[in-house]
Amino acid sequence: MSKRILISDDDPAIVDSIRMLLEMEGYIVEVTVDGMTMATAQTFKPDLIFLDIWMSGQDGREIARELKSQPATRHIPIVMVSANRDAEALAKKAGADGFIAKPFEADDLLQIAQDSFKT
Amino acid sequence: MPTSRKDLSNLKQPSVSTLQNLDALMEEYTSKLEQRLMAQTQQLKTITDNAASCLFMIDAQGKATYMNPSAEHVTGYTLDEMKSRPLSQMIHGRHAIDGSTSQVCDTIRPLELQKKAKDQEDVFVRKNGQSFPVSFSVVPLQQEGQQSGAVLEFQDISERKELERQKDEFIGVASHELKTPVTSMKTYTQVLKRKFAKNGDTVAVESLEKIDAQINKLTNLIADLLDVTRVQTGNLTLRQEEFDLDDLVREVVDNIQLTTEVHQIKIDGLAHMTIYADRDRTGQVLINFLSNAIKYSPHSDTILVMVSGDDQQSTVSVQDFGIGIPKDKLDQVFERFMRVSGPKMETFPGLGLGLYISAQIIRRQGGQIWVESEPDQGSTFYFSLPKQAIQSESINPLTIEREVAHE
Repeated sequence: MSKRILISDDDPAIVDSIRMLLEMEGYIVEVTVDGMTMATAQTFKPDLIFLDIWMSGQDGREIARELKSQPATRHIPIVMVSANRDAEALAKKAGADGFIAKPFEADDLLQIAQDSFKT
Repeated sequence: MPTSRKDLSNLKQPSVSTLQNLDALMEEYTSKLEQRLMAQTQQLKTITDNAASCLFMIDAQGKATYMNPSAEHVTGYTLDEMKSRPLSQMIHGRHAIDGSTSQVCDTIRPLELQKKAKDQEDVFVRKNGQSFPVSFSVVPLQQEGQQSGAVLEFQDISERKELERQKDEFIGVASHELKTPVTSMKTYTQVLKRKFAKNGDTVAVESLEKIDAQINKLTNLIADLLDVTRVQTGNLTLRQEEFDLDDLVREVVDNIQLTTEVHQIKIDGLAHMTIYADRDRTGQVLINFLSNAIKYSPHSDTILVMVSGDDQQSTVSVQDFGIGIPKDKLDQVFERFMRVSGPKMETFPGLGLGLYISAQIIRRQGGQIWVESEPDQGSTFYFSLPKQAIQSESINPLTIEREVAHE
């Protein structure tokens, strides 16, 4: 069965381009641009979430903490995305399972997605 | 008055009137000297009274013996208040907080070392407890071969710091904003590349690879801009991790080799070392050296990377055979905005920030960075790192302000 991936980022073009990339590789993709990550995660039930660390006024780390605290979503691996590569430590502290800096190589994004399904 | 020269006995005893005349003359001269002295003193006092800079004279124990009105105004103290305790205990940021007299007090150290300090930055604390950033200079004084004190001059640079902070914040926001469209551009490009690769369209794939390479260049320029502001605001965090240096060198060289068809990058020597430092940032320095080597030797075909190490430290160097650097620019090479121009005064692309950032990365890890160069023959850039990289934090006045606020 195809894996489901949720992408949360406030930039529509980033979200759209990643969706195209992931759908090419056979994933089922859902997106949010306005921070409705929690609600969408509960209905869409993704196998992986790509979460931007900063989404116009919303702190991605708060969302990550919330996701990890709810029984319905705490098992979902979260890969945090940030323009600031030094944010990796902050992401991990918030409970993220992985981290990728943007702009990223498509190969790296796909690899990190694959790796998250193994654990 | 003796009328005859032979009558010498009279000379031994000047008359009373002669003495009175001499007396009057002396008084006159003394009075004139006093007036002149007063005028000079008054002139000096006018200068120090009106100087915008804050001035202190301190004795060999570090206590204030003089302060000018600006110093009183800025610190909120009067000289009487300052005379009792060493200066550093009263106005120096760290020590005013914890009451320590410290050998590491930067305003006292020049006294101990008998060396001048110029334009150092630090934090002082006013009488009302408010801390503020300063730029200061210290000149130690000697009297008869002994330390007799020092002259301290400082300025409140709060305004300047605030402007710098605003500028840096802007650049930080701008870099973030610039990376956003670049991210989707890069992803779209790679999506296209995959689609065209599947269809066997090699021309399209090649074009897209070139676009991708340009996007990477843009990304690096933006990252450099962001790094520079991080360095300026003391926010450049350096990790400490264990890694094999030879591994890193090989990885970086392999990646950079892909960016040039003109140059062959050769690695000579091995460090045989695991070092404790920031792998990414150290790699960034090597990338910077190599990109410069490529950029500034367009007509040559070789770049040499040399690696060596012992149990204390490791050294990496990158040698190119290009345009070299003029002797008079050699000591400015690691400063911001330095770009060397070619023989025809052409400028090379880039922001002139790479070496400045590299120098900060290496020096902050306790290492050294240097260059040897001959115009028209090429340059060799070196960096060395101790086996265990030390992180030296520069004082961030904002951090101290927060500390003070919590007292």
